[in-house]
Amino acid sequence: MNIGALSFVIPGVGQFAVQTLFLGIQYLLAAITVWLVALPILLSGPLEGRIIALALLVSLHVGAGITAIAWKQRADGLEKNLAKAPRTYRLWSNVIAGLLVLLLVDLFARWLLSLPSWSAVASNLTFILIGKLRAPSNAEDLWRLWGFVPLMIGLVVGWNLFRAKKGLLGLVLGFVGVIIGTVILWPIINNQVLGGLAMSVMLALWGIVLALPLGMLVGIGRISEIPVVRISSTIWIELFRSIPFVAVIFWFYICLPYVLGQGTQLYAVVLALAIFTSSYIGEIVRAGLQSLPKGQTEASRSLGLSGSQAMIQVVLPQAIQNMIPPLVGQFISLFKDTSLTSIVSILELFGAGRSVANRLGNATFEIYLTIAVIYFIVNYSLSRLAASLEGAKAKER
Amino acid sequence: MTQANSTDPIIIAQDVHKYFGQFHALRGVNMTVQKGEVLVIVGPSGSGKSTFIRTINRLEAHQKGTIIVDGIELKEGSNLDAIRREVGMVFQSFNLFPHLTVLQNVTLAPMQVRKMPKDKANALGMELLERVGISEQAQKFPAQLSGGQQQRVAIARALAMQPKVMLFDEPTSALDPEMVGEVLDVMKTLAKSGMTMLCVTHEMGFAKAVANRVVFFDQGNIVEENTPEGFFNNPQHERTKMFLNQIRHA
Ligand SMILES: Nc1ncnc2c1ncn2[C@@H]1O[C@H](COP(=O)(O)OP(=O)(O)O)[C@@H](O)[C@H]1O
Ligand SMILES: [Mg+2]
Repeated sequence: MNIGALSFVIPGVGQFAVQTLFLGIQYLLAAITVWLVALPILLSGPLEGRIIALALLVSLHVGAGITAIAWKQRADGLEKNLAKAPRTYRLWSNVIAGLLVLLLVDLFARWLLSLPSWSAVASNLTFILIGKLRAPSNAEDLWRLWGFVPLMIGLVVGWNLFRAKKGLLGLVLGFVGVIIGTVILWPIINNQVLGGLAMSVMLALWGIVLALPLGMLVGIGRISEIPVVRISSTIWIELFRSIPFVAVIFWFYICLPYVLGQGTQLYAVVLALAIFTSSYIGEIVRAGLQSLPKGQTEASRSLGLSGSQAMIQVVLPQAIQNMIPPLVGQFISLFKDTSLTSIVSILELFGAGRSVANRLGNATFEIYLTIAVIYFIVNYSLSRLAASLEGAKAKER
Repeated sequence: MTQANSTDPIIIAQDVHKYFGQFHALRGVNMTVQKGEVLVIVGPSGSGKSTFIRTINRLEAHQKGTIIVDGIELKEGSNLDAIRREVGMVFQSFNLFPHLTVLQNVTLAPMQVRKMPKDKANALGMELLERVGISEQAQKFPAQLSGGQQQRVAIARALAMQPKVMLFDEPTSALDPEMVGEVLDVMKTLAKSGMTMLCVTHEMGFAKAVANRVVFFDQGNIVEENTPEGFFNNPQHERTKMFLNQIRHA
């Protein structure tokens, strides 16, 4: 009879008997925790909770016993494979921990579902997604949401062509897509109509469309040999990187309508997003350009290429490779930053959510959880998409 | 050896000074190069050889003195792109464009600068690659070639602008020994075709075979000027003798 078998009865005791003290303490503590969590559920939990709890208790005792027996055999020299005992221990500790986590997740999910106000969230979900556009009075404009399709196709296809060294074609196609999409969307681009996720996407897309060329310009300008260009680009970048974004939004929101006229608050916000982001893109561009060896520019210039020809033909195509990952990061950042525009009462995703939460009063947690999940889904898909485009690109080479 | 036309200077440098901040890198260099002449520049590391030939296509600006290339003085405001078109340069580290194919490396400048149509540029490019012996690699990328092949592409690339002068800055010192010969052969052929060449190189064989003159640099100035035979067999200056001893025993 192997003395480790004691652990079948009380996990840890067998380990103590086999003199693997550390494992003994671990199993004893695990046993206390698992029993404390599992017993109440086993007695009065929901069906799937009881099943998981039972499996958890069984694997706790079986695992502790088998592990202790394995260590005993190793100590007695009956088992020549010294790796077997630690492997047994690892296997069972993973099984037990995994089941415990599963049980807790199940509990958490049940608690979430039991919250009283999900029906309120469900009935406000379209508001969170598209804002006041869902109102019956806007029904005839609903089709205009299709404008997002050419907008995004234009950007993705354009970007890919741009990357595939068909730069000009890519830029033109991307721009055409953005224009067609915007023409379709234009009548509903209005804080009184469009809102929620659709507004966030609109803000982010236009933000990046404007911020990219602007950022390129100040990024290249920052290393220009012409002092006026270099200094003004540097001021631009440093200024907007040093001011909190909320302040930039306020500033534009309040000042710009004096210049552009009333009713231009939304454009002011888009401009604020674009300019703020352009300062970060400028830094990404500068870093990308400076990561190239100096010999590339020197070789270009020695062939008689002008400064801008060297930039367009030689430096940029190589530097862009280095800029892609941080640019994707910046775009994700931009999408999250659009939430700050809710502070000047733009009803984008976060603003729409907050207004629903305030109106309902009793569904705050559910609403904000929903919003967080939406942000996560969008941003995670974006970074996956970028990674897979990169991967496809890398395979080509 | 090519017979240089001694009344037709293409490069005139007079009292050229160059500072890097406080550091006085060129100290009053005087040099006249005739059309068709092949000049070899030698000297210890840090003596200003690279700096000097880089002032000739103004990759470095000089602060004092005059440099006249093909009748155009190099100074603030002169048409640098026009001069650079006439002066080809080959670097120690090749500096090929890694994102372009070998052929595109050669055709980029003619198409961008001379606005040559694509098919004409391709024909010119293939002809030049033929001349340096790598036309069959035209569609590969630089990274797929050996060092010697890359340097020959770099020579073809510089020749594509049909320059009047070629500058070489230690074109073989980054190469494995077995690849040095193939690059020197291309350079010798070029020299014999009548090209004006300024070569920073310590390849004595090359200097003896094609150079009209050897110029010895030390501490930012020319210390000795001589024929190849005179320079290697019968150097005049102490510093030249010391230097030759060093490279012979290296
Ligand atoms: N960009 C630069 N900034 C500061 N010092 C430099 C620079 N380029 C070269 N130098 C200095 O000038 C001197 C001459 O350099 P270089 O012309 O490269 O010498 P060589 O080619 O003869 O080895 C060296 O002392 C070097 O350190
Ligand atoms: Mg050098």
